[in-house]
Amino acid sequence: MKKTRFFLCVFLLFNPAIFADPLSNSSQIEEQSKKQINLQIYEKGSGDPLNKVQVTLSSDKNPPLSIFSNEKGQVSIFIDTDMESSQLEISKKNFEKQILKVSELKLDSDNKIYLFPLVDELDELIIVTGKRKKTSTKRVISIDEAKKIAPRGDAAQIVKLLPGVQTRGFSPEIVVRGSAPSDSKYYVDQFEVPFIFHGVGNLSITAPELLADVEFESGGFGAQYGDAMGGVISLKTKNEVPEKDKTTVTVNLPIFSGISHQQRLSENEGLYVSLRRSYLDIFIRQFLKSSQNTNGFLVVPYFGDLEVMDIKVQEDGYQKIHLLSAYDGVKAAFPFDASSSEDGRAEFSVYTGFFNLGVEHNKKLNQDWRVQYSPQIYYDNTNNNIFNNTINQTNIKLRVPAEWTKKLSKDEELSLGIDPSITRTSNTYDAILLRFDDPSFDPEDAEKVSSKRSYTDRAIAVWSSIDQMLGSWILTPGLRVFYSNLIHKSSADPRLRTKYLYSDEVKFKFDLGQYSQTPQGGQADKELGNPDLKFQRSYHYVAGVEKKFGEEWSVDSQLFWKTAFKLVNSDPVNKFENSGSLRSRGWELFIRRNLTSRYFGWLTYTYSKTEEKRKDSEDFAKSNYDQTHVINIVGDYVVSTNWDIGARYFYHTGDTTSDIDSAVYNSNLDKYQDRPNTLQRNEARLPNYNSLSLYLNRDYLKDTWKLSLKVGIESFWYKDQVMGSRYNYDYSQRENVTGIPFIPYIELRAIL
Amino acid sequence: MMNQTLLKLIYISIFFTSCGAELERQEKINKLRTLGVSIDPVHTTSVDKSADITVLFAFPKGDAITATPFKDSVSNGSLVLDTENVELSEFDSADVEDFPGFQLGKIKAKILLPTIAPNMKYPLLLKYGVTISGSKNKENIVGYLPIFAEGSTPLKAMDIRLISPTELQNLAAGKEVDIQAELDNPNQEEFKIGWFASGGKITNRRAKQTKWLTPEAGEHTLLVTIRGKISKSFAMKAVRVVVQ
Repeated sequence: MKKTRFFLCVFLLFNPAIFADPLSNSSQIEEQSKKQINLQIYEKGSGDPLNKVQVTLSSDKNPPLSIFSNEKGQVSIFIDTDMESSQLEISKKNFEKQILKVSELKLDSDNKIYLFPLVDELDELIIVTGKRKKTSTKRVISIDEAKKIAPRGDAAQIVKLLPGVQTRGFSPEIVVRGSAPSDSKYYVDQFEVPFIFHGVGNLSITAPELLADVEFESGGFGAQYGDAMGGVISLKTKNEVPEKDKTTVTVNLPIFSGISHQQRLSENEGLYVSLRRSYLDIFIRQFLKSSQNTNGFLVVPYFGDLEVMDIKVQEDGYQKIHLLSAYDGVKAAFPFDASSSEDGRAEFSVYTGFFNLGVEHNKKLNQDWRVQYSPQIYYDNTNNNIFNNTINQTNIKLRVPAEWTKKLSKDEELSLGIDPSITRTSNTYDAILLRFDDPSFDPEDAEKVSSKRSYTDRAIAVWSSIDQMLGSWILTPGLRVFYSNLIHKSSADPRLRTKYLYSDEVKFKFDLGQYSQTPQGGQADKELGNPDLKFQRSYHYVAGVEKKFGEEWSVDSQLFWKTAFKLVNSDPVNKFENSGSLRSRGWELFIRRNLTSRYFGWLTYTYSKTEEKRKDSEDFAKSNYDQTHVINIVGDYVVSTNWDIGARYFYHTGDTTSDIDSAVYNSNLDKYQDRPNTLQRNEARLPNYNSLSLYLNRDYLKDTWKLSLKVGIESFWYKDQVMGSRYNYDYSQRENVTGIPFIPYIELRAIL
Repeated sequence: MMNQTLLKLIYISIFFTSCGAELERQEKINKLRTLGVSIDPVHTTSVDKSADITVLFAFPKGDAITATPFKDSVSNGSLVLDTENVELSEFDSADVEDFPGFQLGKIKAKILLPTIAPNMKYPLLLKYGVTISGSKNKENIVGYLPIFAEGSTPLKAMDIRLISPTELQNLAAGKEVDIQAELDNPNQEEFKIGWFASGGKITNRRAKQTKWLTPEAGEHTLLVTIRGKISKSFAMKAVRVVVQ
């Protein structure tokens, strides 16, 4: 017995099979084989090499033997000549198995195998992480979710599907908890941008291929953001080096085409480029040339954007050189009632474009401190010629926002920031003063003013916030102190965010704070505005609870109350005054099914009431942005690797409108001008709005690239939806104006 | 952000003017309608005490017309005159002109000018108002009387001539015909053309040359007006046509 054991031990000790590493870099089975078969295994569609693919050799003569591919997807197998009838089974979790006969494979050269990806049957959660900890009102949507479900796959538009957000009629802009679009701030990384959606097609200014996250705060945001009373939308671009080169070509009918490319320059450096341009102007010109009966209509909208990012990742952080440029415009000529030319037409030319070039540094200073600073230069140009009113404005801005953070503990952080900027503005103004907030404003009846000025605006803000754990409470007081040279005033906004960690699943959240905003554009201009204006103020109060149901479901419920005063309105004497007030309160519900490999979706409901008044002497009346109920239901389902389908349902209470039952005939303009009853302002409502959008996404996987076809229809309903109303020439008749029944689109993307 | 608002407004204007069912059109005269207000003198200065205005309007045949002063609630940078500053003459029902589809009437008024401060910026716009009422509808009419500085170069009134069609010209019913006017613009100022008709549709009522989709057979009236934007002058020409 002892001898048997001895010889057994010797045999085992010297059997090389015991010490063979099945995951060794060479990944070989060396037996007494004379033929070598090399496999190179990739994922179909992306061409990415696949690691840990199980390759099992089966034959009649020998028991099955398995081996695994290495990081480069390589496997080498040695077989006897009489094993040519054997077969190889190639398999990996979440990929379609392939069974190949050995006789079909090439010897002594690489056999490229492409495995077809499958949907994860276990439907595992896809983890989304955001950079900064969340406030009670901050929501982070992963780019995967946004690209699928957002209108037309335009990731930035995902915010329109979140609670607290409204859209109104034809406008691409968003309203956050009753605040006007201009009260919210829009960022692409550290760049503050003047607009985030092109005026045409509602597309965002950043291609989805460059985005990593979309962050949205509907209020109660931290001290790092200022000069805003509404919400903050922040598009976060990628911060990592691409794993491989990839090119995506997009053809979207009927609106635009684009190309984006990511290049891995080295292990530590990557480049991203995106260029998109509309071709509506080309189609329309061709159409108008060939069409004989256009009734003198010519409308040529155009837009484009360019983005370039170079990222260098270092041990202690990263550096990103970032260029972002976007432009929008329209040239139009059509018969117009206000025309003063012999052909009875009016010509319009509106253009706005900007670029922002900056370097974002994110660096760990030591064990405790990290710094992020982003020196940047910004330029924009607005060139408008609207019916003989010309406005030309150029802004050049230097800005260097910086933030220092110190990790105090797992849940505690100290943040200090500074945001100085200097802006040089030059404008030439030979136009009427626009007073869109004045219900009696008629551009045709307004006085023209002329001005040519240049001036410099200096602004600076410093801020701090600190997380403090007190038992289960996390308190985050913050303070933002700021100065604006435009109105020669300084002020401070205190803010407090709190969280109570009731359990791992349940959190209670409370935010309150003061939010100030500088008067905008030329409102404080010495010649065209009122230089004595003050900061506009708003107070936000938010209380909420968030509960998780496992990893996949969560419910978030919030009450909010917002008041704003000293809002800038047009004034007949001083041009502008801090005379307006607003109050908005409501309840939001967000039920979310988190992103897994099979499906995701959410339901949002917002109940709100928003009122405003133009002067203290007036009573509050319903705001232009008051929508009592807003519902979004969205969902995406992955049918198989190639197919996924999705839908969005959107409902909102009809927009407020003012009935006009009185008008005067202006004999100098040969037109009737409405005289609305100011006591009945916004007392009427349009019919409630419903829309359903459906899409289908089909991927055609080639070996190393894929073609993605998205077909959808946007905004359809079984009956025409009212977008607004219009009156006849003397306001004696009124009709509702309905939108286009539905908008079909096709988008083809080649990902190379 | 302001430019995004402008873009939105342009698209909305285009959409609202081109989409939707057709509402009652402005060129069609089928009820009491103001055509314009002429001023005498065209060039009123700060030393004048008053100016005369004549309101020209179309109204259904035989309708009873009354007029009262009116004060607008909106100034738009002008000085809105009180009703006491507008002395209306009685409407003379005998002083009307018959046209196919309507009658053309006039109401005269004297505008009493207020005392003007010496440092006033010229031209000063005084806003007057008159309400004309018929049996079925009324019109609140407002207009600007520009007051120029004493000694300033006098402005002249604009004028307009209706070239095509001519008086009592025969036109086919339901067809698009060319209509054309010619302007006299002695001040080289901006202006506004306005076509009116007793029926049919005018393609672009602001163009001096455009098309008229003629109405049903019968006698009809075509009328063109011109208004100067600086002088605030007004002129009008009308023709009778026979549609067959």
